[in-house]
Amino acid sequence: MKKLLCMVMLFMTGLLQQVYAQDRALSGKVTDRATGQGLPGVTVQVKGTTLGTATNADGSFSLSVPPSASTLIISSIGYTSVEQPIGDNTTFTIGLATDVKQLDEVVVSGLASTVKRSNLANAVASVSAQELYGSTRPATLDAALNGKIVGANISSTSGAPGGGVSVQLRGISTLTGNVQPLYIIDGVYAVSQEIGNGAGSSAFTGASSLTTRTTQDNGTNRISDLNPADIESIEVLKGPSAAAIYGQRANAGVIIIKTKRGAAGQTSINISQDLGFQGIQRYIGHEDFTPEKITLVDGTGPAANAEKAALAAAQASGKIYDYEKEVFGNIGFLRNTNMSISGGSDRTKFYASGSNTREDGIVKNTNYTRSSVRLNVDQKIGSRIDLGISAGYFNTTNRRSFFGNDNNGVSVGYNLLSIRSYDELHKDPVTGLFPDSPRTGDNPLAIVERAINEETTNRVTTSGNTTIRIIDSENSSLRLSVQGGIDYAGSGALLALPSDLQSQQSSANPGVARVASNQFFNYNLQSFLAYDWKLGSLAFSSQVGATRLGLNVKQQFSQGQNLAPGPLQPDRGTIVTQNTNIQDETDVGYVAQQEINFQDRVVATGGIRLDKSSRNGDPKKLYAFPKVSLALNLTKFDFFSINNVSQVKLRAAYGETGGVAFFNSTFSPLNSISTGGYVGLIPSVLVGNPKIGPERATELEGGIDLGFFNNRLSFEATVYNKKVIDIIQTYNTASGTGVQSIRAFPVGDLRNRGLELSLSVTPVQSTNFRWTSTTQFWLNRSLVTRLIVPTANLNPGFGSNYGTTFFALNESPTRWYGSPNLPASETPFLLTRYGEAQPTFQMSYLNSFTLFKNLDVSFLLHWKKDSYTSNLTVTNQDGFGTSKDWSEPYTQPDGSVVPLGEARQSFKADYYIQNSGYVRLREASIYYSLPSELRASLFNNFVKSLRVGVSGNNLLTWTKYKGYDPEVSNFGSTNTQAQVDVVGYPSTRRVFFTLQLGF
Amino acid sequence: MQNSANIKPRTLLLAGVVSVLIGASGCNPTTIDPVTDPNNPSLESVITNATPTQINALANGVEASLRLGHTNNAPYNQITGTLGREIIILASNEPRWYTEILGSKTSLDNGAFYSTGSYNTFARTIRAANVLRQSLAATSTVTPVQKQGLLGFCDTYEAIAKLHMLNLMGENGIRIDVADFLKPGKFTVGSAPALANIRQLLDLGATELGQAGTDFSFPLSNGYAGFDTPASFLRFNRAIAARVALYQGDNAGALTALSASFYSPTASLTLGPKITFRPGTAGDQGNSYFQVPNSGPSTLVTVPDNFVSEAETGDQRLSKVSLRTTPRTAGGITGRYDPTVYATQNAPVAIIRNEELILIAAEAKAKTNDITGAVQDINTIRTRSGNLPPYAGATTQAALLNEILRQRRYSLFYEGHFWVDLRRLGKLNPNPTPNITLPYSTGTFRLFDRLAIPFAEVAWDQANP
Repeated sequence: MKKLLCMVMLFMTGLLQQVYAQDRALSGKVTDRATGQGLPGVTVQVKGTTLGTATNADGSFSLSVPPSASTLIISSIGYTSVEQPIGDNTTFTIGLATDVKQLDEVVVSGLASTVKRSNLANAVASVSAQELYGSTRPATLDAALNGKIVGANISSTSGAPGGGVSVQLRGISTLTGNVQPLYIIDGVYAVSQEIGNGAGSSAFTGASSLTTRTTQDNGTNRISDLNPADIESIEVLKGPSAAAIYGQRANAGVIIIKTKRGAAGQTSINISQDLGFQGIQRYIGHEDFTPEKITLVDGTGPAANAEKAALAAAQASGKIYDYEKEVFGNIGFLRNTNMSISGGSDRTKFYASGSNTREDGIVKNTNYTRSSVRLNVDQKIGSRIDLGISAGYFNTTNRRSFFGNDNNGVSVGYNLLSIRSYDELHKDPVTGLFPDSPRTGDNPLAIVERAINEETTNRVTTSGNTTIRIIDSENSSLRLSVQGGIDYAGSGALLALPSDLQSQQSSANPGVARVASNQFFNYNLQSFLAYDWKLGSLAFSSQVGATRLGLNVKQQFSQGQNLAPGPLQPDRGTIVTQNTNIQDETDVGYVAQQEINFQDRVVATGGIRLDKSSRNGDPKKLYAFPKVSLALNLTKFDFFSINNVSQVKLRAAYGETGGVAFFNSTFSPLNSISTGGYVGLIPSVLVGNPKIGPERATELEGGIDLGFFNNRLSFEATVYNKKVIDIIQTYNTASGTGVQSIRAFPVGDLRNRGLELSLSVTPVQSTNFRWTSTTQFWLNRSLVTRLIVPTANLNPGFGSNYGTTFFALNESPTRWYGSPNLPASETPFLLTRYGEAQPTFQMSYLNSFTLFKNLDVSFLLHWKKDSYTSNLTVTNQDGFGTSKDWSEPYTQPDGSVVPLGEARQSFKADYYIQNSGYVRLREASIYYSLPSELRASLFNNFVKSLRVGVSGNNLLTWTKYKGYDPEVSNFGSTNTQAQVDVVGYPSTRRVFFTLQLGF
Repeated sequence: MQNSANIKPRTLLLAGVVSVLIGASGCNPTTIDPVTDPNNPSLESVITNATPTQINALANGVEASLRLGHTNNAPYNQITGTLGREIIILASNEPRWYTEILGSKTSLDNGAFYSTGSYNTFARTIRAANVLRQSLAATSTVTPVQKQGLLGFCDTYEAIAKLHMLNLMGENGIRIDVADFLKPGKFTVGSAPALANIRQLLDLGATELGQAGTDFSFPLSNGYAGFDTPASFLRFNRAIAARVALYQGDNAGALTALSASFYSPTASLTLGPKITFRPGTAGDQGNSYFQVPNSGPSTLVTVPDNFVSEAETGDQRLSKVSLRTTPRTAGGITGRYDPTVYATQNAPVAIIRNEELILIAAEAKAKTNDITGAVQDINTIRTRSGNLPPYAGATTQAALLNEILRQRRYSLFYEGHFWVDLRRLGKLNPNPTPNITLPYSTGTFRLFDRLAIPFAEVAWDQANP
């Protein structure tokens, strides 16, 4: 091996000598053809070489080229590339036209290769920095994708600071595996889990009877750690046909994130400061009480009389409150500072940034902070070796209190709705003590002030890559590209309820404190040989490689109950609970891929990935995931000559991906239990499947891309048929045996079919007015096509009276079912069939306007049509008589008239399964750039750009849904996205004022 | 299509070699070490050649598992207590406790927490006993005599677990053949075959215990103080058999079983094996039926007023409830009394105790027309438990049975009996006897005589007809 290294070194030194030859100096300026303004950061490259530079802040460049250089390629994301012959010229002025469809952008096609979008055979969605973060400041990166990716179903599952977001690409990919897409950040397999710390466990809200971590913890998603301002672009491989090269981790799709990198040229400094605020979008509302109403709600008798007396006393002293407004009516302050420096020479380029974000929630004592630093460096060694390093560090803290489902009185929103307006919950001004809540297990005002749920995360995401061009000639090139990366996220959390809270005083063990630690460590290594060569008019691109991926998790907590007075620390309790959960897994994959390009007219690709994993029953067995694709660019053929038709592309792609069974699925554990101090072992109700292999998704996708008038109008249509074969689900057994399920079993097949349409238009493109508009439309339908085990209740929520879902043959797993019961013939599970959780369709409408070169206006409308949610918001309100419409008369089937709030308590599931479709003005913004003349006179060219703006997020929502937000989910991101609303943290409307400076 | 391959193409191997070069580490980056469960021992590790330590741990697991039926989110005494209107749970965030379970939505939901909470956890005891039996069959580290002790223990526990499940299911029956979880038997038709099976299991256990020598090879918790040898455990086994015989209507059998049990009109009424609770010990839990008196927890257990108003004057068993200073009203129901049966979170739950045996004796005697004997047992309860004067009412069989039901109501309050008793005596209606009413059982409410068969069971039978 050493010998080989020596040879490589010798080879390289030989190549280095070629650099010194007779060069020529070129210079010029690149402008936006529409506005005439200089374009910074444009790549200027000598065709057929790696020699190049980038334009500086005013669009000018200089470059020395060898005598052999004949053509410059000028390219920039968002503009159509231009090939400029050099001839005898030494100065150039080049105008670039905007490219709405970005056909020249390169898109990932293999683990070591890219392809021009115009030659791509898949519908790969791309989101640019401008689209992602250029308009406004969504709470997190994944929230910023909402409405921008055709084919994606994205929901903000919590309005709490730091958010909680669920992303689902092309329908349902798995029922038990990783629901969220695979996130790859600069080549690193990112930690993207939603991590709970036990806020929903029995010692805290009691949402679940589990004592450890639950699905109702309302955790944040680790993707929220990333700073959206650092992101250059995002590519979304939505289905197996595009994601096959990622093999057995890619069933839910892949989101590839590239962070910003430096460009050669003048060093530029950018500073951006946002200040903003957020407020609740809407209130649920409540109804006040009268003595007559108390009789209706509480009946007659001493208890009702006491209520009437309390009401009279409160009315006499003016102590009627609107607690919902008190708790949720605050304005949260938002601030966001970003600074970046980038630049470099043609050999060394760098991008460095720092950011600090703080968001105060609308509930007191809730907030989110994030600080990040990043350094990305690219270095050329000789002409044959490129080195790149990306390093990011993130520190985030969130305080999110307790929300969602609850059985202990701790969750703020859920309990608050039960409180009557004449109840006194305020702190005694003299003693400082909160009174007990007469309705619920604790006083929500006391929880807001005194309960603790905070988490701090430190995260390092680093990757390095090297490309060695072993052969680099006109007709063939051979590259070795090696990459490695790590992602480490360590979180520490403190959850505590002081012992003098009402819920604790009524507990046998008052006071609880939990210190939790979650450590995630991912590493990946990959090594590829890529060979590009030409044979006549055919261009071949071949690659082979291998990858290794390791994922390690260690979650621990220590919890103390029955705490002595003093600091909230678990050691100080008499009942101490410890828990450790360790996961360790490794994957190895081999990839081979071949692409053939006939003059950009016909592009065919075939490839295969072979994967093995320690998560499979047989860790040595290789599973194959093939792919093939074909793109035909009809406009490139000689026979094609229709005026103003700039692109007609037909494309088809087939691919397969896998989903490894979840960790633990092969194990049949004996759980620890003890009695009388004797340790015991009890068989788990779950039995492992030592034969489990990955579930497999196959996808056939076809589409057409059309471009007219130099792509000022373009249209993209895609249909897909994605099947998940041998989908892994728990095999529910007869529970009376004491075994509830085989943990993982290939239970059957699931089909997703969908349609994705995208229309981009630039209706006006003149010097003083430019308008671009993108309309997207997408839908997905899911169906279980094969099932070899009993119908399984997917148990998304709270039973058939509020809505439940099933994995049943010839049914959609996201369709709701509920009471009333029907005869057996109607459905396999006796219940009435209700609406679909998946929307009928989604549509988004993005418009941007540039006026007088300096004023940018944009807005994004998002329409989610008819998606159904199980909504429990009013259940408690009705029981306690507080619902806004409680007293409205309701005529029963027998003709009698009773208050609606009373009648509703015996309503069937049809009431609780509610349409959560909406139309939302997701983003809107106005920015003003100071004209260059004015800027020059004010700052004497010291400042290169100055931009101010106002923007907003979730400004307007039109929905019939009767909860805080139609997107909310009690269970965080779920496999099916059949959401259940148990009064989560209300979502907010956000407004920002932005100042951006470039130096 | 062939989807998997075991052969690595040579080119890919080359790529692997390149990875080795770059990784520059000693190990081969293309190999994967198998991962064993880092968090728990495996079932396989005890199925063959289990060590005595493992056998003891499995036995302790069987004993401990019975506790789970009382610590889940619909614990046995609360779900049966609510169905029999002994208690009403005014849970501020789980209205189903005082709506659905009281019949406000016509039928019960077979997927809801209350349909599976206790049912599934008692099934775990059966599974634990099955695994221990399997383990015993394939180990030589315990002697045949010790094995008999372990088998007798397993059979008794399985019988107890099945009886609890059958009590929840009523005439739905239960699956009695569940040793192979992949090939379970069908539900019994009604409760009678299931009771017969439970009785057989107890008898088998009794035979085994009789051959188990003088000592068990495994430790039992201090809940078994006085019942921790094969001979004394057998008396416990017979006590359960007496309960089953009574449920079967085999009154003579009940009396025979009682005579081999720890039935004693003079011994402590609380005598009998217990489930213990040690919340401070890892793997153990607190008694979830304990409720801090006068507190305002979210899930508040209350006792309907008629428990007090229908009692005889001076019944000292009324100390099992206490009047709250602040009642709670929800859904139009006001709860004014706290149950105080379980005084602390360490308070044990009796599996079966002498007071019930005396009441079983009274009932079996009344039904076999031993009126004097029945009255004697009734008076033992009235005087010793209720601090009441001797029974002075009519001595017809029907009158005595009403009196026994009334005594059972107060003696075994919140111990999981009343609803089962009402049902088996054919009195599960709003006015069972002249002295007993069931509140919240008419109008928008209704009484249920069984829980629904859990969804997973229904689905299994649909798929495996």
